[in-house]
Amino acid sequence: MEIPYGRELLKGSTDSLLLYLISEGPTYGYRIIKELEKRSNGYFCFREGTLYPALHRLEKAGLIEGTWERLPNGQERRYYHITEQGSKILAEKLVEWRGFSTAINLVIQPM
Amino acid sequence: MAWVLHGNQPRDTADVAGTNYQTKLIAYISALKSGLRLEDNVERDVLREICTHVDDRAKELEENGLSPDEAKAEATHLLGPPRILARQLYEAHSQGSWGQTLMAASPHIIFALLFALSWWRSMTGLLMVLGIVILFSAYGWWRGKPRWLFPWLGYLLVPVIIAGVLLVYLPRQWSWLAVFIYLPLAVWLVSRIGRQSLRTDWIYCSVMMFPAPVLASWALAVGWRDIPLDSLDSPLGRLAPWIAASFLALGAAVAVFVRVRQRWLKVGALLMSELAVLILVAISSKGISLLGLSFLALAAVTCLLGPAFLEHMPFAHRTSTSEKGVPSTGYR
Repeated sequence: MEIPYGRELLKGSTDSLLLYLISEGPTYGYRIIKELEKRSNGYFCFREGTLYPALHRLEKAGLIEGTWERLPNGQERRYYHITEQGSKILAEKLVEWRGFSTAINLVIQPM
Repeated sequence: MAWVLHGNQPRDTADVAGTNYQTKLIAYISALKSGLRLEDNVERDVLREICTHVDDRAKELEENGLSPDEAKAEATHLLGPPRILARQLYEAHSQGSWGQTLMAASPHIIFALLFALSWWRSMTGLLMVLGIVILFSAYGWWRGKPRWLFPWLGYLLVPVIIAGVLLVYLPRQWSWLAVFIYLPLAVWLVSRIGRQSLRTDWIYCSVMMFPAPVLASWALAVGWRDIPLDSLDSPLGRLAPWIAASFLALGAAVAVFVRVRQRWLKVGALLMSELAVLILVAISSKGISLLGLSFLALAAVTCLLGPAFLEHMPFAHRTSTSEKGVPSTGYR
């Protein structure tokens, strides 16, 4: 069975996308999904269940850290913060991605 | 809303549908919980987080016109099948650190050293190893039963079994000692440890049982009545390097078990290494027939996979979600 190309691309970029969004400030799972959807004009429609395993994997790797925070209305949410190691990895991934993206654009641009 | 229609339940009848949504939601969380098999505090956090997510999503869906029940059902449905979510979450957490790997492999390595360095020849060496096993087992039990504890518990049962065997050789007038003190204590200890490991996850009961078939096969190969502790010419003395190698192999298998993420790989590592070690025992000792080896292999498979069936017994049931204090956020 052929896996859609876009899905494969997303699978390879999930960690970078999550790290980037979390690097902008502490955030939680549901907001991450909405933000990805909004910023990509609906292109990145995460299957919601897949987000949490990805977040927990990043946390286990020490790239992000989750803490429970109580909101003024009493509700508790698990906010994720990027760690120092996570920032370092993200910086490397961004350089890698920009280089890759530039190379692709150079190849496919009209002559 | 394919998920809601699953099971041919009528959607339009309000009272039936309300109950149906609630039942399905509880079933979803139960299915998720039963597949997670994580440490209690991690599992509690994961379930809380998922519940919070469902609440957030349901709120948005309600704002878009769905009824509260429908919104919750749809929000849960969007998470995907609980078994898949549970497996992915399990794999995100199932890899132990290198420290945990070392702790889990240590009892096997210590037993390998016991034979490689001939500590088994002196009572001091044996008591030292026994002391270490008791110390680490007690420490792990007291510290909330981390996953590295279970290989230690497996070795903790060894002196219990040996003491039982030795009691057979006591003078007849001492048999009351076995009946009134040893047997109740041994049964209590074995059942307590067994139940605890099954409640954590049957796979840890398998880890606990892991050295048992190897120990039994070495005991058979050496012969129970022929174990002089001070002679290198005894069968035990001749086989000691092989015994050490077999325990090292068990240690390596447990290290793989802790480091791999997938459950089937964990079970596979235990099974394959156990069977390989049993073949090593048969080849090196030349004292076990093919029939004996087949019997041991069957015993090994039973020890490693049997706990998966025992897990469904009432005594092995885990604490329910509500008992663990997971916030319901609309699930109750």
